[in-house]
Amino acid sequence: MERKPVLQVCRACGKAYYPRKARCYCGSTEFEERVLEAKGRIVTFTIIHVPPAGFQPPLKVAIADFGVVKILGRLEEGYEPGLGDQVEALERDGVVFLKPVS
Amino acid sequence: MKRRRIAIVGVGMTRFGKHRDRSLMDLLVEASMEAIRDSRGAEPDSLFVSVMASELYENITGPANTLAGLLGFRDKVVMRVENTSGSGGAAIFAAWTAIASGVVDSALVVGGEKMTHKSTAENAAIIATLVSDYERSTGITLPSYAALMARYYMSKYGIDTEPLAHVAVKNHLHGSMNPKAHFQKRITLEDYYNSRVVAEPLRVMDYTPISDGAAAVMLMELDKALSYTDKPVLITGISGATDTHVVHERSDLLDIMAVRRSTEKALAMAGRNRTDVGLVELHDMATILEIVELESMGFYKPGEGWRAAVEGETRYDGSFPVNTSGGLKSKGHPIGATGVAQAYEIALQLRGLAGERQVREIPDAAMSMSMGGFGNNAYTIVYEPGW
Ligand SMILES: [Zn+2]
Repeated sequence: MERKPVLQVCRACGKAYYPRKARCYCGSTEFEERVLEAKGRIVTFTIIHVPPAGFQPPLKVAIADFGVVKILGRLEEGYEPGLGDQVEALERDGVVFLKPVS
Repeated sequence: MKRRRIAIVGVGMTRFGKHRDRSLMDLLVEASMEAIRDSRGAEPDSLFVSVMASELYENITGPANTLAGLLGFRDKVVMRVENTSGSGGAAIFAAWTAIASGVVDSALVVGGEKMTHKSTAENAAIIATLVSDYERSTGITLPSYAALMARYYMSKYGIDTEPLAHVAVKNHLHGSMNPKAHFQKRITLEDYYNSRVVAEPLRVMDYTPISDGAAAVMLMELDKALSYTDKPVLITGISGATDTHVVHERSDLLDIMAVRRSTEKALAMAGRNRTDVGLVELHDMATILEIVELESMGFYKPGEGWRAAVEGETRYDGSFPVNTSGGLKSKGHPIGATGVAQAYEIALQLRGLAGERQVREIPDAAMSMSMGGFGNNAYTIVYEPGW
């Protein structure tokens, strides 16, 4: 099942995190949850031809910038990524997949 | 309070490479004994051992105590220091601070790793244990983080992989003149482009090999040091700093805060400026990292670091030599040894003992930067001739 990732947002400074942490860089431990609805843009990606055990090559990963947060995620095999592509984030089994917005 | 002055009095190092029939302990002992001999047989008060993952590589816990036993050490302060790929820098920091505090007067720092008996896939899996659970679940590894960094740098500054190839060619040139390097052969730009793509846009020739090896340095309070060497290499500044552990939390992927801040703090402690520094050993696990680290250390402006190797400045005979040992790229990267091996190289260079790859002019100051993970935790050191 896929769902939109839930960010952890610091109540004191507003910084958002994915994955979660125990304490914000500002020192606060007061967080709220917020579903990541925004679309992001791919800022960098790689296609890994020699992935670690348990992953099939070619393995595609990217970092996308959603404004409130940047997230490292996987790309699906059929997707040929480009820098600046608009993507949405969908979490499946604890991993974020970055999917092109058609 | 006046701070104690602390110097390297002796150094030792195994050859880096494939040591088929030798264990981690064999390598740590060889480097230790060479450093003790180079220190005129000095008996240190303490032993600091940097090893990342002997549990996973050789099913050994407590490597520091095993080594102390093999070296015939009793009644000494002995500990292991671990900071993943920056363990060596962290161990020198721990030893330096122990001497600076006055609790001990001398320390043998020994780092090593035995890796080549494991396959490339097994090594990748062991090294991947240092990233966060979430990052690991995506299949990312440190080499593929370097690929993400390289593409971002290339697109931001409008370059292709040619400057990366120049870093590889330069570090192999240096390694070809280092009898202790894993690879002692020069490569050409063609060799670079003919090597297999590992993680686009990076190739085999962008990355450090998997190596076995160990390195050691003997540190001593300066007054005592002068009994054991004519050429003490002072450590006048040393500091550590962290960046985010989860890499995508960084506001700028090309500004490694751990590298920038540890450099600034170490220079401030030494009372030195970057213009005093004429030699640097840094953590080129991948070619792009040499470029980005030189920028994060403040030796080049953002977007300018790629020119250094292209224009020959960072060659051993250039105006600002970087990684004269061959760097991780050509010398090799037996993980726990790497930060200590940087200190080994700088001691050789400042003493004028680096042979064919000797820098043209002994600088007023030199630096090493030893980095754990993908810039998670860096220790940076300023060295100066102490004679
Ligand atoms: Zn906060």
